[in-house]
Amino acid sequence: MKNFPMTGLACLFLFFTLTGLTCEREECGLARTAVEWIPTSLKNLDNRGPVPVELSPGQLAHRAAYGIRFTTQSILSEPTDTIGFTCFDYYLEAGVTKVEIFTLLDFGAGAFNAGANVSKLFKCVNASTSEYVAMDDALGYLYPLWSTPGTHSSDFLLVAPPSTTSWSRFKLVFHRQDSSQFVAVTDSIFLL
Amino acid sequence: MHRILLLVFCLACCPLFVQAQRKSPFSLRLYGGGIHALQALRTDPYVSPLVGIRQTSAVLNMELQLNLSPKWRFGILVRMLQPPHLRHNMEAFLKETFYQHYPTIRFGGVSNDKFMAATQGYLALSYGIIKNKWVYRPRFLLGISSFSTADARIVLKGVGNNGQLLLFLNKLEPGYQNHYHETVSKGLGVSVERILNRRWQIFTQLDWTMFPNLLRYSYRLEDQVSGQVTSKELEDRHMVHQVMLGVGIAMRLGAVN
Repeated sequence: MKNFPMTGLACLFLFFTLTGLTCEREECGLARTAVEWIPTSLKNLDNRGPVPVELSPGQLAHRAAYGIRFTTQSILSEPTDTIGFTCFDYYLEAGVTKVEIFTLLDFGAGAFNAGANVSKLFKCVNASTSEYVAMDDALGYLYPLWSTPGTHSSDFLLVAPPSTTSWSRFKLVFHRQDSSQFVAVTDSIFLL
Repeated sequence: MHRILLLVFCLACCPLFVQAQRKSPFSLRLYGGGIHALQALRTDPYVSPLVGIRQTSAVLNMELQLNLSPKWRFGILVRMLQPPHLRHNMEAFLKETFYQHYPTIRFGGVSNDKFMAATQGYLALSYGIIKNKWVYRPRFLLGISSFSTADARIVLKGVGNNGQLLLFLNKLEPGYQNHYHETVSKGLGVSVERILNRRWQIFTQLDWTMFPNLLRYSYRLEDQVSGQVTSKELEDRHMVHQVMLGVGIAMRLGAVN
């Protein structure tokens, strides 16, 4: 009986600690947050300098330093903070399964006809490490990025430039889990 | 290592001041000057900026000496060398070597892109040749040289094009992932001392010390467009010889009468 208050306190502490932890885990599991992915813009890039610069419509680009910047916004589609804590487990509502780039005009002195897949001529830039990622592996970097709430820009650089100058226009196709596609088209640009 | 040396030095000094009213066999010497490596620690230009010891630098010395006899002295010496500018040196090298690229550098193993001061700790045994108020004191030194090293990950973006290189410079063994490099050091020295009074002396000190360069680095250059990779090991073993010239004051601790 002498130790009753201390034992009682210890039991209470243990009870609240265990129940608190369990609740948090369960609530976090339930509160896994869906993120909605909204493409916002597609711009031509001039990458001659230390960092790529977005080009306005009508500006020329150098074919050895051409790129495309795709900007998206990821927003929370469900409230997360319900009982005083936030769970940071995000997922894209309709995830992207594949990204492809097509040329809308003949490209590379007849090497690629209009409508051809030119994904292999591009590399995606990992913004956090500045490393180039092959288009086939780009989703490994892009999916976690797009699953995080915020505005994200992804650069795709032309690493195999054509041998001659030409007008160019590209189409980015994003294949989604629900079999839908999102298509974004660049402005026409003359590659010097 | 340098922290341990400083701690040992400070702990050794503390009781001496407490005994200031009694005669003491100890002297304290403080001196500063310059130190010059006759051959740079690294002759490989890629690695030189990543090593935290300059070819020529300012130096500060603190030495506690124990008078073993009227002529023989034993000393504990701590020497701190001005560290080099890591980022500035690496950028200067890259600007010269990869002038067709814009470099972006990330260093590993150092905080805030800065090296800590290189430290040398020695045990010294000296013998005094006394001529009136002048003392010529040759000595033998044995100790440890320690200095920081860094790793680098460099993105080299092509000027005017989408070309890009990735350059990785990482320290290999000994001390892999340990960015404080320590090596045994030895040397000879001589000082010329002028006795001012029973407590104070002024002196000039010349030391010639040497330590082996055991640093090894891996070099990996990756062309991000073609996928071509060049890897090699950068090793350049040689003895590093340093000459230190300094002036300072020596104070006899405790009562002098």
